[in-house]
Amino acid sequence: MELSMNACQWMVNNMNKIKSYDELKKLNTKFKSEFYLTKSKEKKFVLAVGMATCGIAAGAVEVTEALKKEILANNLTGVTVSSTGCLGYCYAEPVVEVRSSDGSSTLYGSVDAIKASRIIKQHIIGGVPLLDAVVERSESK
Amino acid sequence: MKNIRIALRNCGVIDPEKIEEYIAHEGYMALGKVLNEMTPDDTINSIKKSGLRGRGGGGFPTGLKWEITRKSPGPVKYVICNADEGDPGAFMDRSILEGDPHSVLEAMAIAGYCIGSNHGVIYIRAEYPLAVNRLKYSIAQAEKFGLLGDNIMGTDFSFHITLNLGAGAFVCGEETSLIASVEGNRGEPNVKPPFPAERGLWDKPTSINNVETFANICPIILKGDEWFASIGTEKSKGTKVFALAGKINNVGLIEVPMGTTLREIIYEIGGGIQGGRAFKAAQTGGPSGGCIPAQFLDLPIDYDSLASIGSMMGSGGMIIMDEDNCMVDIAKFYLEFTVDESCGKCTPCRIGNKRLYEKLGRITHGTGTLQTLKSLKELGEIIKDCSLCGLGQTAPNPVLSTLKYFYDEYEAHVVDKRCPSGVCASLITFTINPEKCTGCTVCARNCPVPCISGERKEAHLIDQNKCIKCGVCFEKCRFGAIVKQ
Repeated sequence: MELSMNACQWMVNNMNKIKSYDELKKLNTKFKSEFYLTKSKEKKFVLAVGMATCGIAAGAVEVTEALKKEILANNLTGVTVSSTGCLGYCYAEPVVEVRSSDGSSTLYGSVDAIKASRIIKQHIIGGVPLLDAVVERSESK
Repeated sequence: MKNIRIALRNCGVIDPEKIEEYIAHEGYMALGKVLNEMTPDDTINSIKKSGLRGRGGGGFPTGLKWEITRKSPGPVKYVICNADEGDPGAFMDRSILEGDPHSVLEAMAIAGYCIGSNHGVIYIRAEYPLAVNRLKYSIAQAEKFGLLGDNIMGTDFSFHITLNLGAGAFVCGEETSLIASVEGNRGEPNVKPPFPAERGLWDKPTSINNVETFANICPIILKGDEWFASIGTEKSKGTKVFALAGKINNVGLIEVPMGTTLREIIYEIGGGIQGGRAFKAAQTGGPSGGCIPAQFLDLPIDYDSLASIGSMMGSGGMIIMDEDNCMVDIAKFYLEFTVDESCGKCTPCRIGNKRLYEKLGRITHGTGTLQTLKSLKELGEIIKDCSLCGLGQTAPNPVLSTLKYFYDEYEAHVVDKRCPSGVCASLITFTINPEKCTGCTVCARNCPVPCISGERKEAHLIDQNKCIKCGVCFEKCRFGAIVKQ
């Protein structure tokens, strides 16, 4: 009885495991399509906040909360907040990268709660980047 | 001049806590390719051909290290990832572990496959709690997906990774000390040979590589050794991550091809020196490295060029100094660090560095002579020659390199009893220029001693016998009436 329980447990544990290289390749394609924003009628955005030790120490957690609050307050769909690692811009922490479904990317530096709500209102809703806070910007690829 | 991101390719791009995003960025594809399409020997040859050298500082060819470990006899072998990043001002490894932990795990598994090991250990400093947590989480995730653990991706290769937290000793970044520490002993180095590749952890063949070295492995496997070897200089391939710090405008992490010059790093990527002041020196390699003066601004940086001018690549800390930095004081700062961190096992390092530090103390206090400078050089060279491990062998580098390139500054300290940069407290005096002083009393009110006297609206005076040379008056005066000499 005990043995078969163990076997059951083993099967549960191994259910989601990747069993071959081909399976991994399939997952790679699947996850890729989920990661990259595809062009669509409605503009979509990902707000990536730099959440390494440096960013967190500079206030990235507060920025994330402010972004989420503002998204909720404005009832925005198609805008997600994600956390990421260090981009190397220590002098500009906390940083927020706005990735848009049109392929453009804007990196904002020294973001605080006030700038975070401006990013939502001005950039995401209004479509005008906050030129005073831009560290780096790349147009659609 | 642009950053080329190989080791940092995913940092700041993916969410480090989502293995799905890592897989979307060709994650674990290199491991899959190696396990299914390449033999361990093929893989080692590819790494050898790429010209990848250890990014922890020594610069030993990674492929060769793996080959020696593979050829060492014995059924049990270990892979160790050295994440004991201890250089002051360096944080490359932390960024990689926090931003892209899976890339290190995947490369460790590849190393395990190559050398014939089923067990990896990450030796990470306990001061990096976020990195530790993300690693623990990532290992669990990878095991759940069948990308680590038993029978990876349905093959008969198994690889397990455990974490080992370092208690914060600089010497444990040295590989034999690191092994001693993992075994539960005091973190003290041992004589090499035997090298860890022959007899390492628990006396078994062990390959120890740095975090950044591992972060370079997967791109080499996926994009090919020729692609990697096309970047960099003749003997140093690929890129190097530097942590830019000090008196530079854009403090941060950069990844540039080997062979980039200091000028490009400082003025193009780093945005120049703070306040537009003049560049004086760049310190590379942390407490083991040396100071590079302005005459080498256009030298292409790689392992060999840095060694030829008395510095070293080190793990990649780069501290920029301007005209306000006193080079004797900088040398003393680094030596204080190594004196503190010397484990005490061998005499040259334990006592020699202490004596070296005391001599520097005499120079900065104005009691040094030209003879002190001569003995500084002699003693430094003896310590380099006689110490047991890398810590002692490199500890005098900051002193010797500043002596070589900034001898006039040392001379000013011992002959003129003057600190040209106005840093060494014993050698400077603060006086008030009565012509400029308006008698606003700001200096007197801020002086912590207090030693500044004078009536309102009349020139003030500093009592030199009481002055502790803290420089507060100099900073607070709005009329430039305080003179620092």
